[in-house]
Amino acid sequence: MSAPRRIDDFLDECIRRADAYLVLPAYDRAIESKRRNEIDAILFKSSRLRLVLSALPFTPSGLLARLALEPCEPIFVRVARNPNADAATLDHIYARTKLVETLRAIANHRNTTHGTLDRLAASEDIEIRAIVAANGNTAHETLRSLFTRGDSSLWAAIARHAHTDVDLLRVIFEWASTRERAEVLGNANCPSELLRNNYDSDDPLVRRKCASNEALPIALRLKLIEDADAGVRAEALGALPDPAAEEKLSGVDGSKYVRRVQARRSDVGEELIQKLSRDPDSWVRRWLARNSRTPLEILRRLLLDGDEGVRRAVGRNRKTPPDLLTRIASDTVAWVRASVADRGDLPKLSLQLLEKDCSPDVLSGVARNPTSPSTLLSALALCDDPGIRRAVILNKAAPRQVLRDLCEDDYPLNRAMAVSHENLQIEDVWLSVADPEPQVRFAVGKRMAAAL
Amino acid sequence: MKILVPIKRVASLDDEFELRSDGRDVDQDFCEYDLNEFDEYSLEAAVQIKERFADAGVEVVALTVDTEEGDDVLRKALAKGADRAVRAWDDGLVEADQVAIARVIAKVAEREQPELILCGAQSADHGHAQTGIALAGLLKRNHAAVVSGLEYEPGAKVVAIDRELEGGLVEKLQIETPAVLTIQLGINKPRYASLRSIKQANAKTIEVLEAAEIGLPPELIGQGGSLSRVRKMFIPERGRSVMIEGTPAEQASRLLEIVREVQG
Repeated sequence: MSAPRRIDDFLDECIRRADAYLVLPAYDRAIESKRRNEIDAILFKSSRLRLVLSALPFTPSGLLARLALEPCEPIFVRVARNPNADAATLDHIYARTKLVETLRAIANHRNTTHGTLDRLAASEDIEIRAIVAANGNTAHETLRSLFTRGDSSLWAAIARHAHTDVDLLRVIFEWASTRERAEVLGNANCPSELLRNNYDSDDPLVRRKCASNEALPIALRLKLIEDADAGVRAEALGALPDPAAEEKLSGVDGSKYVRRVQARRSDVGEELIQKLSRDPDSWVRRWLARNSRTPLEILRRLLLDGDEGVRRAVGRNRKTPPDLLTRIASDTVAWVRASVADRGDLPKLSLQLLEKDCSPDVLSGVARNPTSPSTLLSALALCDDPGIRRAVILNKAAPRQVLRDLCEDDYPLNRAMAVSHENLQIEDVWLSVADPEPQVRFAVGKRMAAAL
Repeated sequence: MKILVPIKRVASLDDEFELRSDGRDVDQDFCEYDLNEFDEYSLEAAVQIKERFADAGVEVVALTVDTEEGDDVLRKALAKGADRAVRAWDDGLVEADQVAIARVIAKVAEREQPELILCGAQSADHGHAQTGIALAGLLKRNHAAVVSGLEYEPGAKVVAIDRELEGGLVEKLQIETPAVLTIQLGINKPRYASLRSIKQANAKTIEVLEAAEIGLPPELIGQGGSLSRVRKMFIPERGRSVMIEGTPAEQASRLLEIVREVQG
């Protein structure tokens, strides 16, 4: 049959097929229609299906709310863990559940209201209180009440929390151990006097946390860039805002961890680049190869590096010119050749060379290349390797007929992705309505719901 | 010649599940069912023999002992290259253990007379690893368990097999046919069923054998034919554990605090 052209016709077809996965993406539309009761009968037809839908991460929040109306602990815990559950649903479950696991899930949820988090913070269960202390949504009043309760095991999490205010951070610092003090010093809300008074602490953990705090004054940060501890130097340099004074970045650090940070910086100076390009640590050279500031003559030299990761990084550098891309396309290591296979600026002759490659990684890159002609994509869509076929599907320019063929791919994920491709029209998508895989039928429903 | 491939529909559990009210099994609502992973490999091994010796007229017969819900895995087997599918069931088999199941398979095997019977080494849910060997015992056939390599030419008197032992050792054997082999994971790469073959499989007939056709005396059906019975299933109490998070320095600092707290 031809594809439905109106949402009501689509819903009628879902009802006729009694297909929960087909109608699921259209649920929000369905509940506004006259077919709501029949749609509900499909979605709520068995306890097993209700459990499955409660746990699926793409179940709409409206349906989760309906599912949670059933007083069933297994459903409560699944909905409480579902990222799509909204605040009202979580509050509803909170008022009714008796299971600790469900309460923990609610305490952990990003959508849980401040009020419910505050009530959970009063729980006798220390794990629930710890989860509340770690929830990014928890309000500062709740964090304060957790602190005053006296659980020192929660102080580090409270000290780390973005909503912990300046006054509470001062109090924690006064009472806390070194570890928790370090967390206070790493908090963006940390009082400035604490940073000033502790940036030169004897404890490297404390200095490291100060260094990681973007609020640390520049003058103090520059001192920490010369700290005796490599970890402190790396943190201080990593958080130094661009552009920094070049003389502060010209020296080659004794620690490879710091040199890696130097190589990553967008303001790394030419003199330092020269020195780092011959660094014994391959990860320093890799970061340099990826750095858009690295001059062409250095990239040419790194292209000859013995470490394949360095050569690959040159291939991933957006500033690498076409003549170098051509040379990378001839590298002896497939993983290096693959780094340029998907680049739209790869010269045509090089792309033609890579078409004949045997490596799945290279051919996947060719399949994703926006300049690959449709005849090539058609051929790659027939490869034995499902990953290469999937790469064709990921190509925004994949032709309609190729995608139609891929809607019959052996691999279910490929079929689901093909159905989702915007180059397919609704008539094409509808051909997959009877696919044996639920995820494919869900993809069909999603396209239909969006289009109608 | 025939290759019989007994297959099983196995349950995988949700993260959260409940037990049945009688405490002897998991509530089915918390289970997702699919073809036993080990049987994917035994089926693929059979289909590869058939395809490699395409002129030898090898017939691959998939068999399951299950209610009509077992038809799903049989259709999957058909889609993956089995030629015929047979399902055997009697309501008395509800309480059947792996030996009782083997009795049913043995009866079907007597009827089909396969040269080879390829079973999965175990089921992914109950993991007894007994059905195949019990079957071999009932049929009084040569057998080998946990086979990791297999070479067989239809009509040959022997099948050459590899078995993996500990320490990376490989044992090479020759087993005279007819034989029962239980197949280990990794022996091959099971194929995906193409959409076309799935549609074709859905149109095929599944032969259903009921009590009388199975041919077992009533006293050997189900509990009567079993050597074991599940008394109770439960989740044991676990000790308390906590993850220590943070950088290595932070973790070390916290660990030291805990040690001091415990020491007092």
